[in-house]
Amino acid sequence: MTSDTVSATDIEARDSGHSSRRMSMATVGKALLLYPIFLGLSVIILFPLVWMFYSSFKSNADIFADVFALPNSLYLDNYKQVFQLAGLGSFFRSSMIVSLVSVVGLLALSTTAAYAFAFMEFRGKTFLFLLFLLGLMVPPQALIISGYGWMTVLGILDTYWALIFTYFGWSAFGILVLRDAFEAVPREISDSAKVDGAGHWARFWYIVLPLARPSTATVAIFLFMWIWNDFLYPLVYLQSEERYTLPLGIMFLNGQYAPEWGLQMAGLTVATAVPLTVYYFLQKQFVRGLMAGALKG
Amino acid sequence: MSSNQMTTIVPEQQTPSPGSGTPDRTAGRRDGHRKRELVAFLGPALGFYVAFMMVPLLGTFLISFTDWPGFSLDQIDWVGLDNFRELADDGVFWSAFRHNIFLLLGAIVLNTGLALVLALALDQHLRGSSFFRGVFLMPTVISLVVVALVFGLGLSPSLGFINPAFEAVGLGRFAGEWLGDPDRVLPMILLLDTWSSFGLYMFLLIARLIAIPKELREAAAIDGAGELRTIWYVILPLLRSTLTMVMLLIAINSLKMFELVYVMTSGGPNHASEVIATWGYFQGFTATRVGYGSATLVVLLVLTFILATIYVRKFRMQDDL
Repeated sequence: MTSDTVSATDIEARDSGHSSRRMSMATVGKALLLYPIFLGLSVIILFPLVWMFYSSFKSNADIFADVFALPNSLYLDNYKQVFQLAGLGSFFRSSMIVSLVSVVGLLALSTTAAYAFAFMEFRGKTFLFLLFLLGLMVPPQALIISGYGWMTVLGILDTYWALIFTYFGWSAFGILVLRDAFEAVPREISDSAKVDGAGHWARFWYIVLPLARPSTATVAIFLFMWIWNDFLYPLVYLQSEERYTLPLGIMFLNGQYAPEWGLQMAGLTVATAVPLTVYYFLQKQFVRGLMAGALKG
Repeated sequence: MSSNQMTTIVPEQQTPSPGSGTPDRTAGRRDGHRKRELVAFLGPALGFYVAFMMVPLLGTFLISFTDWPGFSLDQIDWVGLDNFRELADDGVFWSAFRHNIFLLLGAIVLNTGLALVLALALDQHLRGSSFFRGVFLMPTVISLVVVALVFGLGLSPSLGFINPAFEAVGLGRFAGEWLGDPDRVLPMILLLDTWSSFGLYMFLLIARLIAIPKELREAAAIDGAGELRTIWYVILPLLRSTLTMVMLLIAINSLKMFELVYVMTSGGPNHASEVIATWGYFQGFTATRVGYGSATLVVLLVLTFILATIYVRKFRMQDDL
């Protein structure tokens, strides 16, 4: 596991080491072959997003007049409308509440459980660990029908709690990543604290957790992105429009304001802005989490 | 109950547990304290896991053996394997199943191919490589709903950007219906799925390439092997196990196909893009056949578990246990 937790940094290091190298003939040949591929693919990836962004500043008439044209003035009515009429602010608020509460709770649940797996001995440890491992493989799509019934039985259907508690059930990812990080804490450090009379709580809070801060940040960012973008559970568990999260909200706008592309583009831009900002500033942590997530799940 | 017995289950690779062998640990009072501590550390996570993961998981299996319409609990009747028998004769289910297989195989070919070529290309460390890597990974942070809606508008035959784009590059004869054409809708969904996910697999391969010692490449170069021969004879064999892993991950993720189809086509036109997850959703929520819908989703679970078991046995057993 350690190999992929360091690799994101390694990748950066390798690049900077090579970039200043003198261009040889072979390099020129490679460049001529590879840059067109890189550029072409970048256009395919970036264009739809850039199009979404600049179309959000065009009136409907302008969009339908020329789908490619850049906006000729900074037209902000789409944003005004999508917040005032279509309630985008409320979707945004719901997403923030659900994502933040879920991530904070998940961090509390998975750091403590990871500590137990890393530092405590108990009967059935392997069995419980395998049980959590199983949870990583379950496709959420397969749980929606019985999940809906279960939320009804619990009386929390159409509340934020239905989402938050469901996400609390997905602690396995954090447990697996953090257990590895905790086990990497040098034994001399945790043992010396034990000799000094520190109990599990003290060792957890003052020694292990601070030392594993980078991994904890990675887990937090990855979970935040995943929950922020999740569409499936809001779709099934939320019914009242005022509780819709952003992914559900923008789909609702798509149905409600079908002919108003500009307004939809504004909503889509807002929904994408948060994860893209996080990605831009915390790319390294996100990539680490993504790779760990892929390998774990 | 004693801690000494516990240690027998502990994996060998672990360093000895802190303080194992301290005599006072077996004292009854401390034992009770240790148990309470364990419950405090592990209990909450386990509780939510069981209540909100295991219960729905087992629920899916149990409900699939009933004819529950989904309203009041006293309408539940045990019907054994009836739902599965009906599934075997359900033409839409089988076409959804075939679509899943098509998407799965297509995703393996496209994603692996693209990820491998790009990983090797970025490994040449041309100027700007890290910028392009960042771009290729960007779609993985964008919600599938956003992908579905943006492309849904862009693929609109009369108003979107796709047909004008084809005409602009002289390929106007390909312009036409995309999501409304039963022959084109599924390949298009495959392409969008690839668009949103290849970056992750590319990254997994890059991480493996980084770990290949420089000496190996240098040795190959000294032996007179050209760049392509080095890739073919030195690099690719070393990537084999990572490639297998990537393909399994692609397959497992492909079975989760739901959002793109649900948002863009709801399985249409005329079930041409139906997949198992959307068909199960339709049965459970729209047709209120909760038992039958659950049986459909059980198929998804079983397929995933088969692939996941292969994955775990191959790649994770040594790692974690």
